[in-house]
Amino acid sequence: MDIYQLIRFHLAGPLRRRAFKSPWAYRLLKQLVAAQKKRYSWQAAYELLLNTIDQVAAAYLQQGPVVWHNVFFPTEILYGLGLVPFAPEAAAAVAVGLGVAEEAFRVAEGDWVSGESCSFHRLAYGCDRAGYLPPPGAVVCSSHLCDAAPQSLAAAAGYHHVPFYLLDVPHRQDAAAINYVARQLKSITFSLADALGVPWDQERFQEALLASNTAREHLLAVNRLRRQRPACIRGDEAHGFIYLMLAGFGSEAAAAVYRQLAAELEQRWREQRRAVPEERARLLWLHLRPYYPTEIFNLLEQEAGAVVVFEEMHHVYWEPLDPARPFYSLAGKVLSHHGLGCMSRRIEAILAMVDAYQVDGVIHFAHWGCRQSTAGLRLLQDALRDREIPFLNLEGDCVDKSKYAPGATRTRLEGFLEMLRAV
Amino acid sequence: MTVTAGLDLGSLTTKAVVIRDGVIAGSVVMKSGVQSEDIAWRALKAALDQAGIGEEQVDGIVATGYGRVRVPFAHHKVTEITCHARGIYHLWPEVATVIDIGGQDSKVILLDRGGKVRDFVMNEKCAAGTGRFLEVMARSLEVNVEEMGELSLAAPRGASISSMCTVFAESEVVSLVAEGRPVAEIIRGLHEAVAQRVAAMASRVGWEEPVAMTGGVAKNRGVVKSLEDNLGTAIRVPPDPQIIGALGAALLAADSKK
Repeated sequence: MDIYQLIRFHLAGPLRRRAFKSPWAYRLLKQLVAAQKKRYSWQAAYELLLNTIDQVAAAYLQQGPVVWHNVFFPTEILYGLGLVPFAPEAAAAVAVGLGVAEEAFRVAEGDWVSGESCSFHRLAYGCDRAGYLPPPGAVVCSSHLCDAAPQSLAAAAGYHHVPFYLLDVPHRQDAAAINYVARQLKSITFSLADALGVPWDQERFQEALLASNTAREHLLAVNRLRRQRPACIRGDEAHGFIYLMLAGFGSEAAAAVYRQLAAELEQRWREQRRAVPEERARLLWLHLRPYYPTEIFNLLEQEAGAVVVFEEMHHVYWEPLDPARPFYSLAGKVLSHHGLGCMSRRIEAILAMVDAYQVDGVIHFAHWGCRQSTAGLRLLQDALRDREIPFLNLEGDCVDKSKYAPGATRTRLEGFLEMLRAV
Repeated sequence: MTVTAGLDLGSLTTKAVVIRDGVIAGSVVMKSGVQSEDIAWRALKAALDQAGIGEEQVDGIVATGYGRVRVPFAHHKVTEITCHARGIYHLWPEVATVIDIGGQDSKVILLDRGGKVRDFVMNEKCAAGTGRFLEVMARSLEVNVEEMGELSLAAPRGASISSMCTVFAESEVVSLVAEGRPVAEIIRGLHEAVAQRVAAMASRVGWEEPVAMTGGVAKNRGVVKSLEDNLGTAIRVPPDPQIIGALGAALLAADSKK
């Protein structure tokens, strides 16, 4: 029984909504998780889950001012201010596992939220209106990489009558752009502190940046270990840690989880414990994955021995932060994302991943809401073809399982695997 | 003597091909149904009977198509992508691009010089641009699906069909009939709409000449002509394009015996 089944079993029906606001629910949940500790194949995953429960509890129990953020906003600022970050997009993925997605989609549809819009934001909207999300004290959002987030989160701020702060990220990466973003980050930081009545604590802010740097170092260690052959962790298992990339940087917990993961990986590497009995192919996974049950990873990794050895979302694209120049270095982090600006930057980064992780093929999961970015795929396809690296663009939806066609997906994946074997 | 069989379980039809030493000895096409295993077995038996070969003489069976997973007696299961590529490579080794339009999906497959799949692209999960789409439209127009090709070739122009959603296109077709547009022009318009969609898929994968077409829709000369116009190149169509997936499956079964 996985964590989602546990919650569904113990907190079924109307109880669920009230349970989110009960401290007892989180105690019970942690006890249930702890009772199954030995069943986790990775202790880092176990720790991640406990930390996530704590973080979710802090938000629902309003243990501090809750700030909603999109997954590309630099969370170091929120941790540095001692706030409680909450990412509705990440919550949408969790909602799928908790079995509330269908209800939330219906709520959104009933409010005229177009079915053509991004399902992450549609689902977050429905969860919010259905009373599943903790009310925010403020909402922050960056404009880069996701076109839908600023509109969705601005609407959420309006609904909750709380301040909304937009970080406008230009596509350029020059000095003027860094200064422009740094000034905004500083302004947002102090505006948040004022609006939420949080005292400015320089030391705490710097600690958040140092924690981010520590997490970065441990993640780099994890990534170095994932370059080895044979792979010691399946992509199916590694995907769960992406949550930290989207909502954890700046927290001590993220650093601790990555440290644990690196230690476990190193030990398994020394013991030559393979991710799959026979590694027949190595794959790079671009973008996210579906968060509802599918056979995708089972088919790839368990049936075919094609291990997803790295995910684009785990790529460390930024330099260490400088606590003495927090806003300037955070601006540098935001602007150095490989997906920002010209497509050639993303291609260059992906080709570097292809080399570093010695992959035989690349799968891009084209999530419905993010397809505005798929025009660049032609360039990526050409670049990979030049290197004779097979590429599969797998169309689907990360959170709306009604869009999933098992037979068609299996044919695409098996066709791709046959192509890999033929190379 | 090597005898192998290929079974292609599509959404509309099930095809069986038996080959003896690389030559087609028997082939059948049957309507698919809910009992995939039963239909697959009957198709295989019919193809073997046609070839005059006993089932005990079959050295290998490969199943393909969406129903491939429901053929327990097949020795291997291979996707229709690889099977269509193998089938065409057997007929015309120089072909670089295969366009397969079947009952529920359409694909464009790029081959390397050795006949291996270099890349492929498939339609999304809706029925637009597939045999099912044309079948639904034929029913609305009260014409036989087999007649559509010839009828459309006789039309001087095609009616404009703006929707590729099967449901919306059907109501559009009904409206055009009500407006008095000749049926042949509507059919030509439908073929052009399908061809435009498939040509866009071909561009996605970077199609190259020579091009061949397989699948049941390749029997529709109107669609082939529209596709040729869209791509600006001649398209080769095998004598029985519907069985190419099953032929490829039988060849792959034979390959595995070498």
